[in-house]
Amino acid sequence: MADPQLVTRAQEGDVPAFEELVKRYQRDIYGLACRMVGDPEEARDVMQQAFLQAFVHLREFRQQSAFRTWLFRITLNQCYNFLKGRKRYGEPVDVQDLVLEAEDSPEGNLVAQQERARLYQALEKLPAKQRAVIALKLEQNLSYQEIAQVLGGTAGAARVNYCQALKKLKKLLLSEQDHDVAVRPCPKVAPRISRR
Amino acid sequence: MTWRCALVQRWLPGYLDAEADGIRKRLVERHLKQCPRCRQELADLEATIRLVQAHPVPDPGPEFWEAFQRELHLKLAELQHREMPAPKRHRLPYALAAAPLLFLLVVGVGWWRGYLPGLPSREAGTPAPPAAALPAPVAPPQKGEVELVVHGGGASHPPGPEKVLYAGIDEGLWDDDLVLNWDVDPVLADLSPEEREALARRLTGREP
Repeated sequence: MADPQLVTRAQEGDVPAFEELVKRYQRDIYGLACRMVGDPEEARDVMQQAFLQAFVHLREFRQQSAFRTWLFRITLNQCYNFLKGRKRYGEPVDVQDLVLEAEDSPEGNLVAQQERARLYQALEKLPAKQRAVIALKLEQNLSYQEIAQVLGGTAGAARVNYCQALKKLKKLLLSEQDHDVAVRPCPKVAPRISRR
Repeated sequence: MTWRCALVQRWLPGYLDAEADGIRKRLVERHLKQCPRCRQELADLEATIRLVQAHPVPDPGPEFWEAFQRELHLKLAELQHREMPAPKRHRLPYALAAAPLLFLLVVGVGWWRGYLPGLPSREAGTPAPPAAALPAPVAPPQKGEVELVVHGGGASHPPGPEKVLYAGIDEGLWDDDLVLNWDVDPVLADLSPEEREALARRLTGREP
């Protein structure tokens, strides 16, 4: 069944229809949440909150955009709220959880682990909006028009935002590369130090 | 870096994105052929994109999704139960109907108890029988008619209740107001004609 029919049924109170939509987009939402908050456990909570919010406000969704982009928008709002709270309470960012989780995959090797760690560190340093636009463009393959629907603004603004984000990410990756050569970070100690 | 390099490097992400229009794309390509610095910039951007796309967020596995869906299902059920709107009670029609009913009830009780003397009496309010069932209207008796009826009418024309009342009024035993409040019909209804005549005689004081 197509999304609009499922959404209509879910709007009429059909919970299984909504759960079908959840199954369809849970991986996308989880991926976006992971990119944004950098922690799998927190991403799970954010994803759950996003789906619950979507369920509560489903009747307000007028199907003027795709359900997927609407979900992305809710997820990003949840992520922003989470990041705001984390910034306020000063919790450290521990992207190593994501790196360690990825290490369980069979294709993981040392070089890939290093690259992944470098990427996650660089993404963590990006501003949240630029991180969001990178994730939406490169991982979720949204067009600029769809990114504009998620983030607000125009498609042109989304394009400019993406260009700036990509350049900044490239710069951060290069600086991380240089840093990796100079100092090898200890993943278990770094968060404790930053907490102090 | 020349101003042309700065301009081209601004366009490079769009160029990689294959969304650049024809003229801009040709300009970038022409510049890249002769500028190693911009070629390096392009290569770095391509490497960045490749790196991001080569390391997607790892899938947590089917157990994670099963547990997540189970937990979400419970939360959705709880949320739906909580969000279930209470059945709407349209109280306005009940209120609108209750007000006149209450008014009628108060008036009815007052009328029944006699607190509302201005209203017609209970007997006067009873529906009148059909005209065909009623006896021919009796003309108001003139003075002396009771005497005529009582003494000259005999048993063949027994006096009705009205005649008894008018006889009492004529004799000054009671006035009009008292008659209006006197419930005589139930008393007279069960009396035989002879008993009515005897009563009339007693009321008019002509009984020995």
